[in-house]
Amino acid sequence: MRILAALIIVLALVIGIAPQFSNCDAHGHVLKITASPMASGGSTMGSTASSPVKIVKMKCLWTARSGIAVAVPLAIVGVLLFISRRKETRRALAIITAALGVVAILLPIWLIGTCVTSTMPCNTTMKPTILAAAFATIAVGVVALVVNELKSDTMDVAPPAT
Amino acid sequence: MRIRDLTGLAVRGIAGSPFRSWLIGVCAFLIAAFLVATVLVVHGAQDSLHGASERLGADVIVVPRGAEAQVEGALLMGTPTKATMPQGDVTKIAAVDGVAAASPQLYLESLIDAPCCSVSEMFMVAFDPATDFTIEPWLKQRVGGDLSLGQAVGGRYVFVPKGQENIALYGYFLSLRGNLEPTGTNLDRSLFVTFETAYDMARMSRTTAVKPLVIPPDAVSSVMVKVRPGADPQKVAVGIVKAVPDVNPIVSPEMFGAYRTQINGVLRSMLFVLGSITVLSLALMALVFSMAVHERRRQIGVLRALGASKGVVVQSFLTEAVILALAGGLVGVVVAAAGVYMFRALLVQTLGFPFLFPALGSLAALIAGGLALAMLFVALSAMVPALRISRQEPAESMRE
Repeated sequence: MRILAALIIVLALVIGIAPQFSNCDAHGHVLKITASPMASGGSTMGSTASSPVKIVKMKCLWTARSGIAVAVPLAIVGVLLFISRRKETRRALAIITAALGVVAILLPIWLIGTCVTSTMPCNTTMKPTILAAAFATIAVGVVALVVNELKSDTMDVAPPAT
Repeated sequence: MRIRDLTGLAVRGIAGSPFRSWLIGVCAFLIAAFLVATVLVVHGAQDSLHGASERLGADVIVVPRGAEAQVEGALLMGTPTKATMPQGDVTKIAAVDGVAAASPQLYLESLIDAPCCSVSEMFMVAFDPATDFTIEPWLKQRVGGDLSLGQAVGGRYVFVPKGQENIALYGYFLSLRGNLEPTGTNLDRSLFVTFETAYDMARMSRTTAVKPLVIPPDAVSSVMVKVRPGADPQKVAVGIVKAVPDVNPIVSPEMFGAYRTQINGVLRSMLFVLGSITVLSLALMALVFSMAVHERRRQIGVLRALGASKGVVVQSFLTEAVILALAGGLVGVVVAAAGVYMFRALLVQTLGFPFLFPALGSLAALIAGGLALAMLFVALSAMVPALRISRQEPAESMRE
């Protein structure tokens, strides 16, 4: 169980730290939005653009930041699992681990997302790293749950009176 | 002895020595994972090159002499190329004996991260609708007509940015008419426009873009050649060189030769790693199984004394090996396939050649093959010690 707890802490570090260096903003990319010709009164095809440019942060930056929000509780769960000796507590911690893994998966694919261009650093490195770590987190959570159920718990039982 | 009893015996053997079981499982994991990853990467790259050749649809591609690698790099990886040849060469090539059609193409690049472009980077292929035989048939079949001024067709991953109605390049707005099938190459991120649109974009870009699009006058990047039915593409290529000495015709099977060499290099390296891992794993597994057999010789002696045949002893060890190989191998193939799938874009950038993930049917066959090989290797390593102990007399086994 301690090995699994250590694995959870490592995975939390991956989910929290790796995206900070692999998102598009960290690689110097920003989104430059030009207003469409329809919006600025121009024609649609074969026309030219002279619209104002708006620079905004890409959404993968917020996915990376929110990774920290998942990683911190995950790391705490890992530490608690490391020191916990009660079967019920470990069961709850294992379930929370798997749930946090699910949240980590949802961040880049549904809750916030990444950039649309498939060649951007967030799609080539950050998203697969988060997904791989998140799937591993779920697997570790499930294994911890199974191992916990299989193990006999001596701590819950009062020692026999002598 | 029934299968259930054999499995029960094997499971007890696995549970009885967890460290040994973990070692066997990890070996099976490594063999299956590396095998699947190697085949996936190399097969995916070859499939991608094949898809790109099909997409180009030409029997011969004529490029400026010395610019073969540049043109291939432009088509496959989107590496910009400035190599051009005179437009007059197209007429000379079309007149060569055996040539059914010759169509010029022009390779253009967008500005990187420029405010006048709605996409950060885009490779553009300009074609001549009057002579084209690569994009036009697809257009007529899927879009139902030719591209007009300001219209474009995109590769699989070309899209109109969210919140916008057109794709802006060099401050010029292009309407996307449709998307082509995926090839795994940069053609999937390329935009196909007519020469007319490309020249119009270049003309307008002088006033609308942060940097104008410069198209050298009377120049083309390559000429796609379709040979007449029955004509030999090699002979046509020789004819082209004679007619136009400053160009290099590349016959379809030899296309992307530099990339094929690169893929073969990666294949050799990966095969070396796979071979090393397999040999080391086999040796380690054989050692572990020998230890297991040695430790359990009394148990085996009792079994034999109670009437179990030599076959049952061998079968019990093989069942143990198969269970461990299945568990480790299954995790290995899933991790390898998922890893290659998730990191495929990074693989393309790192290895420097295109990649197309296989269809579900091929993937299932590959996974089954990887698993079967892992099981075979583990079973082989268990076979020798199991056979040795099964041949011992029960009394001898129990006495040792």
